[in-house]
This record gives sequence, C-alpha cells and structure tokens, in this order.
Amino acid sequence: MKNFEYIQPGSLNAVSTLSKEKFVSSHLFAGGTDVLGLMKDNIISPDRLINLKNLPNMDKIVYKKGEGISIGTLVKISDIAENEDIMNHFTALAQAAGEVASPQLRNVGTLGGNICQRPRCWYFRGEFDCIRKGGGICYAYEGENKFHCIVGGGPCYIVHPSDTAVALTALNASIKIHSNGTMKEIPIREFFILPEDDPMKENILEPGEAITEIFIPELETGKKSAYIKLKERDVWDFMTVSIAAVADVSGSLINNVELAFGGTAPKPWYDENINKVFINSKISDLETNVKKIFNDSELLSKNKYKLQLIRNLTKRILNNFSA
Amino acid sequence: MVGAYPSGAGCSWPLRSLYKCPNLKIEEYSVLTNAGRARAMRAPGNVQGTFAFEQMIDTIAEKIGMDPIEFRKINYTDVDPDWGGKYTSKKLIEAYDQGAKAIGWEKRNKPGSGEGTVKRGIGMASQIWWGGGSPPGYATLKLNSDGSLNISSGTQDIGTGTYTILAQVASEILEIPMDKIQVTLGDTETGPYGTASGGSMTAPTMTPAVYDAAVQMMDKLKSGAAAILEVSEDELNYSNGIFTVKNDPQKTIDISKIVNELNARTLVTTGARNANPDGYAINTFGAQFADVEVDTETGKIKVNKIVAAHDIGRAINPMTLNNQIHGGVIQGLGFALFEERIMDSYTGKTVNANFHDYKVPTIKDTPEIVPIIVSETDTLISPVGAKGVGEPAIIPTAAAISNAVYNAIGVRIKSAPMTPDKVLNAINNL
Ligand SMILES: Cc1cc2nc3c(=O)[nH]c(=O)nc-3n(C[C@H](O)[C@H](O)[C@H](O)COP(=O)(O)OP(=O)(O)OC[C@H]3O[C@@H](n4cnc5c(N)ncnc54)[C@H](O)[C@@H]3O)c2cc1C
Ligand code: SF4
Repeated sequence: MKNFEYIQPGSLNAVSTLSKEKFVSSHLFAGGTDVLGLMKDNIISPDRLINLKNLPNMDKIVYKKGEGISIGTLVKISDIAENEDIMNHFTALAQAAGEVASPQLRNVGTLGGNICQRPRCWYFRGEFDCIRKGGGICYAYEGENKFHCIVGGGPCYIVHPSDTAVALTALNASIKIHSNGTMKEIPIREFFILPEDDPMKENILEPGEAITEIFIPELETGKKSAYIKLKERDVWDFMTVSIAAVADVSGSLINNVELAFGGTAPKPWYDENINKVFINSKISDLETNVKKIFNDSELLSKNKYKLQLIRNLTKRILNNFSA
Repeated sequence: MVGAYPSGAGCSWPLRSLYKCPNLKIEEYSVLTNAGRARAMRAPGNVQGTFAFEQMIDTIAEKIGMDPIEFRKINYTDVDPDWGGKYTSKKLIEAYDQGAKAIGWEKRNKPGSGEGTVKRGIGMASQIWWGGGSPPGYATLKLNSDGSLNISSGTQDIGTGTYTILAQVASEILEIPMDKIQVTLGDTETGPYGTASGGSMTAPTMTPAVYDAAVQMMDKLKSGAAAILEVSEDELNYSNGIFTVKNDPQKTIDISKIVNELNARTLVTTGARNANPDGYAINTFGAQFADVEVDTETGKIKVNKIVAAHDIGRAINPMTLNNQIHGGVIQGLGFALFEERIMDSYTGKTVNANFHDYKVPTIKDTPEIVPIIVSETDTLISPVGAKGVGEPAIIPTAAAISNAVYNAIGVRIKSAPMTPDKVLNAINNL
C-alpha cells in the first residue's frame, strides 16, 4: 500500500480545501469500513485521507413532528436501526439499516458512508481493469453476472449496494451537501447517476463536496413504510434484491405507493410508472399487476431469476401492508 | 475437475460401495481445467459423489413408488460390494431407524404437496467412508516419580480433541486422573511417528497406540509392585493408582512410590497401533436427515434441523465427538447452500476469493443439529474400538438437504450450492 497522509480537519471549509488541493488525490473517510477495503484491494490509493470524525454536530438525529427527521452524516448505521423515531415514523429506513452487513460493521459504518460506498461488482473489487476503473471493457456483461443489474445498465452493469439508499429513495429523502463554503440540498432521487452518464462514479458529488445530513419529510397521514431484502446468507450479505415501499393501503385497496428497488439497477431504482401500476389497485390483483413491471429489463446471461424475484417480492411487500 | 495439476480424489466410491448391486458399471474420468490446483478437503470426492448418488437413489425409489429408506434397506449389503470382505461392524440400519424417528419421518408428505409459498420437506441420505485407522502410529508414555504422566506423539490436534481422547485412553487403563496427564503433540522431533490429519485416521490409529503403551506401563508397574511388596502379581488388586495385596489390604503401594523405589525416576513405554484384522472391510456408516423450508417466491432454502446418526465405533468422548459432527454438518450445509468458487471463464480468475463473496454459513444460517451415535464399539479393529468421525460427518449433509428440498417443492436441484437463483430457475423452468 502506498504511503498516505491522514488528516482530521475541524471544519467543512477545511475539508473542501484539503480535498481540492491540486496534484493530491484525496478521499473522504467516515467509518472507513469501505474506504479501507478499497485501499487494501488497490482500487483506490489516495495520497490523503480526510477523516470527517471531528466535524461538529454531524452525528445527531433530530425529529420534528409534522416536519420530518434530520440525520447527520456521521450517525452510525446501528443507531439508525435502533432509533425509536425512525422505527416508528420511517420504518423502512430502520429496517434497511438493520439489514446492513453485520453488527460489527453497523457499529462503525455511518449513514453518509453507506450511501456513498462503492459498488460490490466482483470484477470491480478484483484485479480486473474494467470500465468503472477506467479500463476498456465490462467483464460482467458476458461473465459472472448473477448479481448484476437488470435495468439501467450499460456500459457498466453494477447494482448499487446500499440498503439505506433504497429506503431513503422510497421515503423521498433529500441530501444536504456542503460545497465549497455553501450548502445545497438535492433530492436523493436525483443524487445517484447511471453509468451512461459517468461509468466511473455512482453519484453527483464532486471533489470538495461532502454530505452533512440527510432529511426525510414526515409521511402523509395514512402512509407507512417497509423494507424487505433477500440475501443468500442470513447475515453479513448484500441484497440479491431488495424493495422499499411507502404506501397507503386501506383494507384491500392500495391508495398510494412509492417503490424503490435495490439489487436491480446501478442506482436505487425509482420509476413513477411502476408506482402507477399499483396506485388505486386491489391487493387481490397483485398477481397480475406485478407482471406489468420491469418488462423493459435487459436480462444478462445469469440474472434472469431476478425479474421473477423482484415481482414476487413486490407482491410480498405490498401484501404485508394489508395484513 | 482436478485443476491444472492432476491430484485429488474420485467421486465414485459411494456409488461403488454403499449398496448391494450385482450389475454395476461405473466410469469415472478426470478433466484438466485451466484453474488452480486441487486442494485438501474434508472427505474429498465423497461429499460430491454422495450429493449426486443419493439424489439418484431417491429418484429411483420414487419412480418405483417406494419409501426411500425402505429402498435403501432392501439394497443393504453385509459385505463390501467391491471385494466381498465382511465389515468389522456396520450399524447403518440402526442409523436409518433412529434418525428417521428423530426427524419425524412419518410426517413426510408427497413431494411438492405442501400448501402456500413456503414449503416444508424432509429428506435423508446415507454415508460410507473409511476411517478405521491403521498402523503405523506410535505413542510414548512417561510416568514420572510424582505419579504424573506424559504422553507424546508426532500426531496432532487440529481442533478435533486428540489431546483429550489420548489422555482419556491412558487415564482409563492406568486410572490416573486427567489433570495429572499431559499430552505433547505436533512435534515429530520429540514424539514418535504419528498419523497425519487425513482420512479420519487420528482417533482410530492413535488411541490404540496409547492403549498399547498404557498396557505395557501397567505391566511394568505391576511387576514393580509385586517385587517391592514381595508377592506374586496375581495377588495384587489395582485401583486409582494404588496396588493392594488381595489377602492383606493393609499392604499397599502407589504408583509414584513404585517409580521411586525402583529408582527409575521415570518409567517409559512406547506403544504401537495394532494391525487391522485380515479379510475384513473397515468402514464408517451413517445417515443424515434434513428438515427444510423452501420459499418458492425467493428461492431461499432454510434448514430447520439436521439429524446426524452415525456408526463410528466407540464414542470415546461424546463432547468432542458431537463437536466433530456439528462442524461436519455446518460445513456440509455450506457446500449445500452457500460455498462456491466462482471463476471467470474468460480469464480463469476466481472472482470471489474472499470471505465475503465466498459465503461460509454463519450461526444465523445454522440449524438445530442432533447427533446420534448408533454404535457401541468395534473391537475387531482395535481394543479401543473407535472409528473416525471427522469426514463421515460432512459426507451426507448436502445430499440429505437436497432430497429434503425435492420433497418440499417437487423439483430437483442438481447442482450445489443450491442458491436462490438456481432454485427460482428450477421452479420457473428458466
Ligand atoms: C463485508 C461487508 C459487508 C457489507 N454488507 C453490506 C450490506 O449488506 N448492506 C449495505 O448497505 N452495506 C454493506 N456494507 C457496506 C457498509 O455498510 C459500508 O461500508 C458502510 O456503511 C460505509 O460506512 P463508513 O462510514 O464506514 O464509510 P467509509 O468507508 O468511511 O466511506 C465510504 C465512502 O463514502 C464516502 N463518504 C463517507 N462519508 C461521506 C460524506 N459525508 N460525504 C461524502 N462522501 C462520504 C467516502 O469517501 C467513501 O468513498 C458491507 C461492507 C462490508 C465490508
Ligand atoms: S459491471 Fe461495471 S464494475 Fe462490474 S465489470 Fe462491468 S464495468 Fe466493471
């Protein structure tokens, strides 16, 4: 591993300045659970690590009834999973946080880090010089692609690995970003990007920018949220497919629903047209209605099962709302 | 597949040796692959062979409308089908019966007949393996003047309990408490030759060597006691480290005093593993039973329970033995559901060479495991009567799970690991 500098600045402005310095490659560091893995596997080799730990007030959860909840970027995944306000009002996020990795990783990993973690494509993490690392080809496209995406791919076919990002997408969260001395707020549904826009990045962040907090607006009355995830192993495993839903279901009628899909696309997948299939539909029609979604997917040689899986899990999560 | 260098083991031994079948033709060949070389594995080849073969046996039983256990029982063999040798001991029928009872075999339904999306199934598979041990294997005993005992041997304990069982065998014969026995292993410079950790050989090879050394030690002590007490050896009783003259119970001597009075400082004996009996086949047998649930919407298999009924001769230490069975079953569960080397076929590189993508089961994936020992002892092999268990424990697990999965959903999954994608593809005919 290459030598690197390790800095713990005390202000956001210092973070910006340090990470934009010319001829120095810098990388932000929160819990480090992903950054250290990336460095050990030689996927990144920064000259400078900028630890965000000393930034003030970024590890707080503040809930204001009727408005929403603000979660600092440095809040630990385990604290999100166990927070009463999140469990009661933003259930999908608490459930998604509880599904992340293992207890040890949840105790160290942060929300900002979880959203910004790099993809898990095994070619990307292995010794393959693929498109996402600046190389010429996607090894997964005709290779071992059972965990790869079924929509939104090309020229790279990753799935976004974060559980919390899927829940936050359904919950219509927004991301507050410090950008060179000013703050901006971006809806999470516009935060992630597809490979066709830039195959070497997963989100819109530029050097000098850092997430400070995530805000989720209070759900309208009648709406509830949930998250389900299929993983091969019962713990310490990324999603094969996951779904977050915010829904208003009364009896057997789905009045309203917003769905986000994980393990499906290079970003948490959100599509108004999918919601429309289920809005004002009956629970008893789910079996036929799920067949209307993801018909435009591009299945790869080894991920055909995902289409059926996504439809089955959609049925299951919506069924659970009426149970 | 044998990797880039020919080495490894065949898969066909269970097919050749598990049942009586007068007309059997087996063809087995190795394929060189442009991959890494074959590596050591618990019960090499037999886990794989049994996974395929015991599914075939279930399929045949179903085709002729017979209960899978009944079918196995009528094809039972008393002799090794390969060369006709009689088994020193074989308790496979007992394993079938006790295992079936423990899993609740009578509750088993027709394949795929369960209601709802999550379907329950019960299945079983048999196991055969060697594991009788053999010469050479030696152990040296040193009895010290304070009455403590050292055992040394070049064999090793890879976490299986060798230290404990060697001490136990010596303690049983010499009646020296376990806390006065020290065992030194893993050093061929200080200890005599001991067997390697392979073939489930350690317990059945090394415990008889210690037994032999302990019996020799007892002879030395007895003749020493007789000389010191001036009686004949027949006139002595021995209990808990003390010799007593039968007709004169006041006259006693303990073993540490014998060592001192003989001015020996230490008494030393070296024992050897006895030869195996001529003309016999020596094998371990067992049957494992699985109770599973298959979620037909996600393809995920959950194992609720594994019953592992094994014939391993004498259970020297039930606790370390059960640990071996737990370990074998969990590793078998990994083979059945999770563990797979995924190789990129264009480059020959393994893409999941880490403990995150190569998934070994965690405690959350591990079911209730119920070990049952159906054997008492096998004194034809050695006076200790133990056979090995390290490999037998892993052999039938995946096959039992796969037969249970078939019983649950009525669809056969023919390759391991049986991951959700394969199960969904099989269910949906993709
Ligand atoms: C074995 C293993 C299993 C895992 N399983 C799962 C799983 O099932 N589900 C899941 O969701 N995750 C999983 N993860 C990922 C894990 O949850 C993440 O590594 C963790 O959440 C990242 O948090 P961190 O604070 O440690 O991030 P770091 O490693 O510190 O950072 C991760 C990335 O985010 C960037 N970053 C961090 N904070 C900010 C910020 N404030 N602004 C801008 N960029 C920032 C960093 O520069 C870096 O690129 C797993 C990880 C491992 C190692
Ligand atoms: S899917 Fe993306 S990350 Fe994976 S090999 Fe293809 S280009 Fe690389």
